[in-house]
Parts: sequence; C-alpha cells; structure tokens
Amino acid sequence: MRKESLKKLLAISLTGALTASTLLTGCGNAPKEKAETQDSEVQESADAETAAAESAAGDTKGSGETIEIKLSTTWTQGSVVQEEIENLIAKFEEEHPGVVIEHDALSTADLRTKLTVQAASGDMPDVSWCPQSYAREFIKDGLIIDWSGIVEEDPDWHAWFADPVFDALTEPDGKILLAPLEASIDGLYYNKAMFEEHGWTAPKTWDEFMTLIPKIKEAGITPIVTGGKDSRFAWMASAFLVRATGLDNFKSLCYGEDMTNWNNESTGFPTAVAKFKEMVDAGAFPNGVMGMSATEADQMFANEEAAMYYEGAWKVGNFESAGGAEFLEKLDRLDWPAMTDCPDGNPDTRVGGCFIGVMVKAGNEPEKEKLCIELAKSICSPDFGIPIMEKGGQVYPGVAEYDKSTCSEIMNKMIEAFHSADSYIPSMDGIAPPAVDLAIKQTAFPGIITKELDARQAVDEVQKAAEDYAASLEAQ
Amino acid sequence: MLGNKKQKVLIYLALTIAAVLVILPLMWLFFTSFKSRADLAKNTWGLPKIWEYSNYITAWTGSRIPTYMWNSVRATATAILLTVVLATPVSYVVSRFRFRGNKLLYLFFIAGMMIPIHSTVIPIYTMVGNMKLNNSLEVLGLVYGAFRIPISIFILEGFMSALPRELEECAVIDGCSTANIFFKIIVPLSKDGIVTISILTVLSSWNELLISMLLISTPSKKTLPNGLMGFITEYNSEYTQLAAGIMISIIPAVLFYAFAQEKIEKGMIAGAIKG
Repeated sequence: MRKESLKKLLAISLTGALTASTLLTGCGNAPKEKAETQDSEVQESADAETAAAESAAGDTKGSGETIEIKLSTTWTQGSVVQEEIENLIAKFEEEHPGVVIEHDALSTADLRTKLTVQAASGDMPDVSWCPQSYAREFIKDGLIIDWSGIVEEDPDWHAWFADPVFDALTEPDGKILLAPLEASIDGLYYNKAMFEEHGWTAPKTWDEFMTLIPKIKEAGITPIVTGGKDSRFAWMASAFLVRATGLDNFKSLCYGEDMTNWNNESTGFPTAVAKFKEMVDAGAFPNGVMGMSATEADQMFANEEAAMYYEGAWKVGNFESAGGAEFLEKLDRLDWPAMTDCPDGNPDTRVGGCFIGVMVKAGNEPEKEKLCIELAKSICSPDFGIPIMEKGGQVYPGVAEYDKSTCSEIMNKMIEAFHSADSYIPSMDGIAPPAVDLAIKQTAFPGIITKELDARQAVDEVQKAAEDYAASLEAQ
Repeated sequence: MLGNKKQKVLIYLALTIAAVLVILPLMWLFFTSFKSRADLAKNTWGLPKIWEYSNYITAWTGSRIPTYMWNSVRATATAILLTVVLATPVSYVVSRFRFRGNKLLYLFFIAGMMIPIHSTVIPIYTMVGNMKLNNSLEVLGLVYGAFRIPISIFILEGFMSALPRELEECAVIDGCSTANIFFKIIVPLSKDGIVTISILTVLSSWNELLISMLLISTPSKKTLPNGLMGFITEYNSEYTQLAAGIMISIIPAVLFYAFAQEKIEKGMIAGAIKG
C-alpha cells in the first residue's frame, strides 16, 4: 500500500517535472515557436471567443485574415455601460469580419496601474480608456497617436464636439491627445431640504462657507464628507487651486514654466493648501474621514449625516444607489465657493471639462490603426454616449440633444453646468503629472487631515514630487 | 483549583472574543449579500429588511464566477506543482548534503524572499509579453510558483534538517540509492512540510490580484479576485452583488478546509515548530 502510494508520488513528481521543464524549454525557444505552443495549448481549453482571440495572439494578423484589437476600458460588469459596450463590440465585429476585439475591463485604479506597466514595457493596448495626464506622458514617448490630423480630416466627427472640448485635450504644440469620451463637471452637492429646515444659506464665497461650518456642526451634522480612504481629493485640490490662483498659474504649475515652483507663494499653491488646512481645522470633515471609503461617504451623505459633498457629476448615480430617487430630489448643486481674498483666483472656472478620452496605440500597421480609430470613434459617438448619459452613467461631452425626462433634476443641473461653464480646469489627476497628483491626494491633503503635516510640510512634499518628476524628464 | 477554573474562564472568554472577531465580518458579508443597495446604505449593520436572493443569481450569471473559479484553480494548481516539485529536491540537497558552497546555495535561494513582487511587475510583464505568453493561466501559475519557491525552501529545509541522519545511513547500508532515499525516506517524512508549503501557496495564489490583472486580459481567463473586482467601478459599485460573489467564491475554500482540516492543522503546527 505504502509502496503504491510512493510510486504514485514519484509518477506525479516526474509528470510535474516534465511539465515544468516542457514549459521552461518552451520559454527558451524563439518567440514564434512559443506563440504557437501557447496557441495550441489555449485552443484546447478556451471557449470559442477566447480561442479566436488567442489564435491571433503574437502577430497583428494571425492567419492573414484575423486582426485582434486589444481594447481596455473601465466598463466592468458592475458598470451601467457594460451591456452597451458588449453590444458595440459585437456590432463592430459583425461589420468587420476577421476583426476580433479582446475587451479587458478593469476598475479605473487597476487600469491606471496596468497602463503604467504597459507603457513602461512598450506594449500598449490598441484602444483604451485613458486620462489626459497619462496620455500626455504616452504621446511624449510616441506610444499613442495624435488625433489632430483625424479631427481635420473628418469634419463630421469634429462637429459632434464643441471646440472647448477639443481645446481641453489639445497640447501647446497642437497635438490632440485623445478622442473625447467623458465630460466631467464638479458640484458642491448640498442637501437643500436640510439647509431649508435649519435656515442655512448655500455658501457662494469662502467666507460664507467658513461661517457655515460651525453652524452645521452645532446641529450635530458633519459639514462635508469625502472618501478619504480612496484618496478622493483630486477634485477638491483643483477647486482650491483654481480659486486661489487662477487658470494660467494652475496650468503653468502642471505643465508650464512653474512645474518645479509648487512651493513658490506666487504660484498660489501654498495659499490653496493653507485654505484647505483652514477648512480641516474648522472641523469640516468627520472624525475618521481618512478611514472612510467613497461608498461609506456616499452612505453618510445619503443618511443625512453630512450636509455637503464635493465631487463630479457621476456621483449622482452613487447617491441614487445609496439613498434612492427620493434622496436625489433633496439635492442641489453649487460651484465651489469663490475666494474673494485671492485676487488671482478664478471664481467662475468649473472643475471638469473633458479629460477622459480614448487613446489609440501608435505603431500598428496602417490597416489595423484605421480599424482602431474607427472603433475609438464609435465609442465616442453620440449613438453610444447619449443612451449612457440618459442612464446616468456619465456626461457625454458632445453637443447632441438628450431626453431630459430620463434624468433626475440634479443630473440635468450637472449637465447644464457643464454646457454653461465659462472655462474648465481638469481635476488634479487629469492635469498634473501623475507623481504630483499622487503627492497631493495621497500625501499632502491626507497629511493635513491626520495632522502629520502642517501646510508648509504638505507643500514641500508636493514640491519634492514635482522636482523628481522634472528630473526624470531631464534624464529622458 | 480555583485558579485553574479562573484561568479556564479567561481562556474561554479570550477564545470566544477571538471567534466572534473572526465570524463577525463573515456574518456581515453574508447579510450584505442578501441586501439591496439602498438597504445596505441605510441599514449597514442590521439584518436585511427584504432578503434579495437575486444578488446571488446576478453574481452567478453576470460575472462568470464558475469560470473565474476554475481559472484560479488552474493557476493555483500549477503554482503548487512547481513549488513542490522544485522546492522539495532543492531543500533535500541544501539540508542533507555537505559540500563547498552549500550555505551559499541555500542563501541564494532564500534571498528571493527579500524581493517584493511589486518591484518585478514591469520585467515580468515585459518578459511574458515578449514571449507571447500573456493570457495563459499556466504561465501565471509559474510566476506564482517562482515567488513561493524561496519561502518553501526555507520551510522545507527546516523540516528536513530535523530528520535523523541514522535513517539515511541505514538506507545506504542496505544499498539504497540517493534518489530512493529522497523518494522513499525524505519525502514521506517531510509530508507535513510539503502540505504546509502547498497550503501557503494556495493562500497566496488564490488571493493574488496584481500579477493576474497584468498578465490576463481575456475575460474568460480572469482569476477569481480579478473577476470579482469587476463589481467595483469608480461610478457604480455593486457591493451587494460583490458580497454574493465572495460568498459563492469562498465555498470551495470552506469545503477544502472541511475535508483537509486535520492535515492543514497538522502541517501548520509542524511547520511552526520546525520551521
């Protein structure tokens, strides 16, 4: 009995060793051979869809007929867009026989990580959701295509979007980074019913806002809440900075002459940080906000334990999930309060615009690149974007009409705020170099909340990240 | 006598608190999986007001959980195979053979424990991409296995060093070859250690997210943690369905533990003493 089991163990071990050595030997062969080994292995086990996709793996054209397009989006099964994107893929494949789209759907955080790794290894997806700040880095390295020529060549497609939308995605050298996918607009959401009940006035200036905080606290309610654990400070950082220093200084800090002057008083960032600290010191956030996820913050707002919430238009969907349609009826929107004591600040600029788009990989064969551009255009079309907006998924950046009756009043106000804005500034993660954005939302602002950093130290952390980033650019 | 009784009460109290601390999150997850999103928002800690069985149906039908589970099994099985097949003979050599450089060889292998997985993601992604091996669960298992080898050698070396040398000497006198000593004496006596490294490999591979997210992009090839993350999006997180998905996904682990409880406990305890 014992002998038999030992024999079995020996057999299993030898089989394992054989399998491992086969695979490792495969790794040592020429790439083509490996691809073939992999393909044949995959064909046996994967379903038809996967097998078709993987038979093309390794070459742009597997058999000369099949073209595989790798598409990365944030539309996972939890997203309201998931069904629409699957339908679009099916239709595209039907209209283009021989094209197989491999759709990799990841959460935004995961996709950002994956894009960073893919860029570092030079293996970008063919078509992908992409924030503007990432696209700015990718285009410098020649990893993605410039859309300016395509915009010029296709006036019909250009006409879908207002000029400010393309302006927001255009670099100083005229390159257009992305095809516009998603519009964003900020809102200082407040519980109108609660404000009326307590006789509070919606704050339009910073002084009014700061005067209101103790009144709300006296009523036993948290003035403002956010998902600290999820580092949801990118929008707030932009709002503080644009109110404190204005558009031009903001842009100069992010990609202009002042890229390494974040600690310089004249650029306004130290003032913005000081204002943020003033708000924190007044007790605007709840205790333990840094341990609170965005969903927990949504729940707190929906449970009417917090009076205000500052973020983008997509929050409407979250608020509905957390508090139901009746909660949405209690909400109204404000612009972030104007800082009247900051002469350079811009009181009318709204945080948002269009800084999420679709990128297309550079360097593919012309036929494949053409197909990728067509796919990207389909994803950015009104036919795809408007139904999603009507479902509350996102704000479409185009000028097309939509059925207002399908959206809540607060959502209509957000869309109206987008279209009526004088000017936009993206949220910090959409405009600042990624390292600087992370330094602000993961180190500086949280550090002030937890009191680990004072305003000066917080500014210094961001300055260091900016200097490191500038040094890395010089090294390139 | 009284002191013993008091001590017992304190021990039972501590164990009860520990049990509650372990069970409470699971109970919360269980109840959350039966709530609607609005119910979860307003009634985070209570029992579901209306039991939403549809979360399970949606999680099962809408997210390919069975496929994700099978994929995780494939990647994990490969990792176990690689770890056991490679770590066992290496541990035997470094623990039982005396030769120049033995210690250096051992240190070379266990130095791998000091390499954080995050520092290797770009080279791994580039290498796998260059070899056109993306979207292969077996390759994912190889990567998992490679990261488990150093700690496995560290654990098994401890087990094997503690085995009495006389056993080998008797076997040599009886004419046993080195291979036979390894397969017929060392491996059976190190069974608990092998079980321990297998369990640790299961635990780390089953829950791994970063590497699987990078190496696997085909939807039908995603592993369980990667697939379940699909319930969370920036704009619309389906936490109740995610809870249902997690409840479904822990069934194999619970069954695995139920059937292999004795071996797992024995292996872990033995590892703790000898390793």
